[in-house]
Amino acid sequence: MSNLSLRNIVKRYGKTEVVRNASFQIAEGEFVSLLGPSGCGKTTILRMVAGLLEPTEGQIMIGEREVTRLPPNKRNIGLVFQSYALFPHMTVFENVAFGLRRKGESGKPLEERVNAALEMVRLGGYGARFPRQLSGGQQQRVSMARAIAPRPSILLFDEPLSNLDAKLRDEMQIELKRLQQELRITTLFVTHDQAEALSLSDRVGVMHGGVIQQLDRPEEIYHRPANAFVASFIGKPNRLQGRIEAGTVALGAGLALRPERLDLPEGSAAEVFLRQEAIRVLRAPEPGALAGTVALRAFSGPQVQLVVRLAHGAEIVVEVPSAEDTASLAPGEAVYLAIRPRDIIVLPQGAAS
Amino acid sequence: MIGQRSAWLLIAPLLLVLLLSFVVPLVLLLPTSFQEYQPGQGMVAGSFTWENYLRIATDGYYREVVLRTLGLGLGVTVLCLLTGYPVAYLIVRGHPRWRLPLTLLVIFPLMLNLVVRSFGWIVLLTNRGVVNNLLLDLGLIERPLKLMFNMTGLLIGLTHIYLPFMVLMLVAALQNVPRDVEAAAATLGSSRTHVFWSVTLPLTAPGIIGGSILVFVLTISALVTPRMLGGPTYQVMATLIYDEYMQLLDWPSGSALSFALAASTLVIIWISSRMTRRWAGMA
Amino acid sequence: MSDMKPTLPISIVALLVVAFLQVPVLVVVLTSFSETSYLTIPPQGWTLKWFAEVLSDPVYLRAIWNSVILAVSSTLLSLVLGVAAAYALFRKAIPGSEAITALLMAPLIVPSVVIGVAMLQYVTLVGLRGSFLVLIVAHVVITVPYILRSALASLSGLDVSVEEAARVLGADGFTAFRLVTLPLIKPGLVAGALFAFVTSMENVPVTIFLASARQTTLPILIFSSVEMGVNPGVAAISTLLIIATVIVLLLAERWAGFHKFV
Repeated sequence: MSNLSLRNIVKRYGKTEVVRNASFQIAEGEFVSLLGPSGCGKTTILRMVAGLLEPTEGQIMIGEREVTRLPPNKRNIGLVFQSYALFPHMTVFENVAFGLRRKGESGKPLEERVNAALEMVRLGGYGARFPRQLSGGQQQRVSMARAIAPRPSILLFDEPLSNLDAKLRDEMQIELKRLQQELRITTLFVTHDQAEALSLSDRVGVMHGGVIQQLDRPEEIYHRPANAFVASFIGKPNRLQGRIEAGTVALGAGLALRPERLDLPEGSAAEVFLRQEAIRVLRAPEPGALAGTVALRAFSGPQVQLVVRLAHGAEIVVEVPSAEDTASLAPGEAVYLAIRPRDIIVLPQGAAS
Repeated sequence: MIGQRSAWLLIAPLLLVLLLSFVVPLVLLLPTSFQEYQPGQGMVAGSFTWENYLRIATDGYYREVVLRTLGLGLGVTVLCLLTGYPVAYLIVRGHPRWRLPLTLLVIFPLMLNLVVRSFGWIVLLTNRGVVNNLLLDLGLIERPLKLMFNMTGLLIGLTHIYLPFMVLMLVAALQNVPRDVEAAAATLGSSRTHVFWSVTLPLTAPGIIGGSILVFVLTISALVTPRMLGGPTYQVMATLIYDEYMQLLDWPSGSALSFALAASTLVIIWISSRMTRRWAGMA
Repeated sequence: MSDMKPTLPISIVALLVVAFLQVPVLVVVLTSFSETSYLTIPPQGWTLKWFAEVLSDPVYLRAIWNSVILAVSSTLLSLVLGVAAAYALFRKAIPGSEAITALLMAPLIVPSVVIGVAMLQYVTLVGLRGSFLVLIVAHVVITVPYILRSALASLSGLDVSVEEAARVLGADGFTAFRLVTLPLIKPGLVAGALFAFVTSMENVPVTIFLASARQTTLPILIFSSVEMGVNPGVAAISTLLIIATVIVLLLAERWAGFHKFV
């Protein structure tokens, strides 16, 4: 086990820069996710760490060792693929034993370590089967066992849960978290699923356009997004335009929001991000609440989504638990939207998005 | 996951073999086709003439052979298409249990030695062969039919030889026809026959074209079957090349004819690949 | 609703065509066991004398031996050269890999008889006429496209990350290829090698220009001998080839699901 650090990593294909000057460090035993839409460069970074791609510039260090130009087999890394990438012609046992055999392990110790790894992913007794005889979830667990069996110093996950259906994904997420807590291996996890990234990680790096926009604890990412991209990518935000006036954000038609913190100069244009789940829907007015009318109502089981048209014409989407009284609001009815000052995210307008 | 250097190392041996024993020989053949040939003396060193190529177009005998070769190619292609489509259709759309045995029965002749297959047709078609004997015994004919050393023999023999290729191409094409489209046509009120002609057949056009080009090109290049069933007198381009090299020793004529044959196959393949590309663009 | 199953007339026509494909084979087999030197239906008398005759004839034995040696060595050589090249081409590590692929597949397109005469003039020029090695190399040229085609097809059906997984788990490039990639493309390679072997075994148009009298192969022998008319000895040797083909085809089907690769 060791820490992982990237220094000024750049990856270019011809003239296109896929990764621009990425630098970060993952401490020993830490779990860091790279989160972003497809094509943001997160997988490229992971593949460079694995040695499957060579960076155009920069350095990659595992512990004190520079591995930038080392072939993948000399890096002592575990990698779990999106497609599982199990060896279809080998049994589960041989799949898990593959890495150990490359290290010269054999006989009884090998058998013990393979079985221990399989136990850890709760697949003890499945050793004699072939991958095709297993379900998708089981295959992914074999792939994890295979990655951890040789005790890698770094563990990499490339969208490991995205090939699974929603229900299985939730189960596997818990499994993964448990595994990581037991092993405390330095982990880099790549995903486009924010729930996955936020719930699993010690820190999350949000990526866009080859640049790491913000690398921070999940709570910080969620409550204090560094820029408009992060604010709009995380959660289900509503985006409103406004202007800073007397310590509030004026939206127009007399509507104003008073955020907890406001670092923008008086009179400047601002963008406000309001998460759907952070908005309380009221039937009666309350100080500071925004007045509007229900324009649309959509029922989706546990939640009801309301589209509320504000007095100045902008529309906001809010979520109400079905059990709430306000869930029965019908189009045309008047509503009031209350937002806690700490949930009002204000960013300068026109910043990188 | 391999660097450019090791990739070149992996590919170099084969590339070298092909350059030295395929490309260079073909290139060296080109000057020969422009040399004069004096019967009894051989090639005239340092000479240059277009005569060898002009002769193919102007000389009556050459022209007959070329036209016969192309006609043979066309005939075999049409016969393969007509007989091959039902087989492919049965393989793809028939009972699944028949699929493997039928496929193997189509592949089997393909894997069987070409010379053996041609020999089989000699046994069948020769003057005192199986077919003639049978017809004579049945009293259907009084004198043996001439089934060899003419177009009939070559058409039968070559159709048999290249039919498997056609069937396999058509099987692939038929498998790619989305069944939903046929079902859609049927729900829109098309009869079975109409669904076939208006949906299935057009959708298998790439396979029909691909199979036809393959069979045509193979037929006009064939040496073994035309020689075995056509003998030394009923010539096609390939057998004529063979004779010019082995019997007449007229290498310049032979090489000119070789380039004419190679050029026609390349042109046909080039045109067809352009055609299919345009078709693919339309889909 | 019609599900576009073949109608009865179409099925009958199709079965007749499939039967037509087998006719020459049946006729050859019957001839080889028949007493008379030409075949009648029904055959008159059964005998094995043609087999005995052929298998004690040193000319035939030599031709069989030549053919087998030539086919085995050229197939193996094609396999090694072709798989290496296909791997490099597949990884697209080389600029112009498409043009190179086209060049390597070209022997399929150029008529064999043209390759034959070109090589005849070439080996005469460089003074290698009559060398068995030349014959082997010539057969590599005509068989390697089959290996290349099946190797490329098998490789493209492979999940690239499987080999990457092996690399990350500590295998060097060659080990990953040997332990993971090679076993996974083996069925395709078996099929390709079989095609290469058959192509070499039956080749006349190239071999006939290059082989000396002592190097005569079986197909050349049959090809030349039928100019003298139908000979039951040829039928006997053909029957042996037919039996060998059936066995090999069935084995290939069982090992590799051969029909999927045709």
